[in-house]
Amino acid sequence: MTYFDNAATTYPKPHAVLWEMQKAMIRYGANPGRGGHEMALAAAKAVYAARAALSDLFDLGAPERVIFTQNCTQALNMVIKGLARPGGHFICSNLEHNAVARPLEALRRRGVCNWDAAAVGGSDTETLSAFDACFRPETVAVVCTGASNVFGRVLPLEQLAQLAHSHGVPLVADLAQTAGLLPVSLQKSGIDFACCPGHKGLYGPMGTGVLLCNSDARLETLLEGGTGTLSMQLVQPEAYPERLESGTLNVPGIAGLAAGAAFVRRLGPETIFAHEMRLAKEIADGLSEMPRVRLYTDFHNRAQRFVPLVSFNIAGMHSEEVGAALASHGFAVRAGLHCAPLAHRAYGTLDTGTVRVCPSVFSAEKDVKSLLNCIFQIAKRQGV
Amino acid sequence: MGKTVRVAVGSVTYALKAQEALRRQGIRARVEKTPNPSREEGCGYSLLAEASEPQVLAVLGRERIPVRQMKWAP
Repeated sequence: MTYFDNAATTYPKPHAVLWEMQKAMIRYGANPGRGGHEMALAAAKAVYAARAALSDLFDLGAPERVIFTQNCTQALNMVIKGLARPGGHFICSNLEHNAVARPLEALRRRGVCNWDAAAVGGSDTETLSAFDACFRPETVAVVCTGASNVFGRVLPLEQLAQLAHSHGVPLVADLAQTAGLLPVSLQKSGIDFACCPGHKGLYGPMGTGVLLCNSDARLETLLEGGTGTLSMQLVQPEAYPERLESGTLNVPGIAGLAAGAAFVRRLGPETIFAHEMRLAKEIADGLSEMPRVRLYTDFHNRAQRFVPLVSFNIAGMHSEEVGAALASHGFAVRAGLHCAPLAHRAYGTLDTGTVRVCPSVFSAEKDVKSLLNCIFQIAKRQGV
Repeated sequence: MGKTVRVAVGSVTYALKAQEALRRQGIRARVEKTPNPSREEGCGYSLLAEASEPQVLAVLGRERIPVRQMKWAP
């Protein structure tokens, strides 16, 4: 199998990730933050080291504000529902994943908050203007993706943070497609809450995610329970990270995530981005020359920035048919709506979906050539 | 260990952050479960630090680590 579904989760993982997870199962088998014995403290140190590594990678400056979650979706739910107030209002973009759109819609259907989706424009200036027009007195936060998981379009998060702050509200960033690729300094960017999956650009295992809290804005909790501290009190502790981490942590997962983050830091996000973008451009350029292929990602548009993923369709075929055909030839891609109906509506691809191709740092040029050849053959057979 | 002070900081996260902060200042400290937690609070973690109270308080204060209790350790 040649794997190009890295926007869903990266594969393979660095060997260090597998090794650290196995090591954790053997050496850190006690529950961290509960007991006082040697193995419990060793597990706690491993978890703290992971917090410190992620705090460094994102320039957060506070390991205790790195909150471990089971994925980016959980992190987004925690922040969105944590900030929600009766009568409140949220602004997001029209390219958001359901990880943002569904919790917002759930709040709306429960009569708690309303929300508006600002149209991402042809340029960052147009996008900022669209967001600005959405603000209301009752707006409580801006929630925005760093990049579309379908079309790769990068959004101007730092400028959106400034805009949000000018209206007195925080910016919540969904970094699902940019963490580990586009470097970000939380202390300098103004992003208040950053939600990341551990298992995509950070090369950690599935079942991990992080919420990075760069704001003192108080989040109401979604989950209350045992935190290993202040056990006499029936009220959830106020201090991070325990306030937002109830129950036992996924220690092997966190150990793997720390190894993945170390891998990214060692290579450098810029190096990883350059490699992947070179391959993505080669894919896009190859597709653009094929008859019957419609490409939705334009890397040559200088007014826009992209992460390295490509969406396309073959005329006369539903995207799922193309995805299945590619799978039968050993190529793993994702077809359909990618849990992002807002984005597909914005691009006019709700009926067919798209085929999404996303390389990783482990993808090679020979894989790209093989993929392009296979797509060409599928398109050619369709045209006969 | 020589003269030590026990500092109760609450969570193991803060205990490890405090340990690292003290280590950077050349102060040795060991993390342990708080041996006699208050009835009002219950469980928590402490550090046994080889330093004076003012030294420890200064370091933890700079790192914004809340101190729940502090006393000399026998």
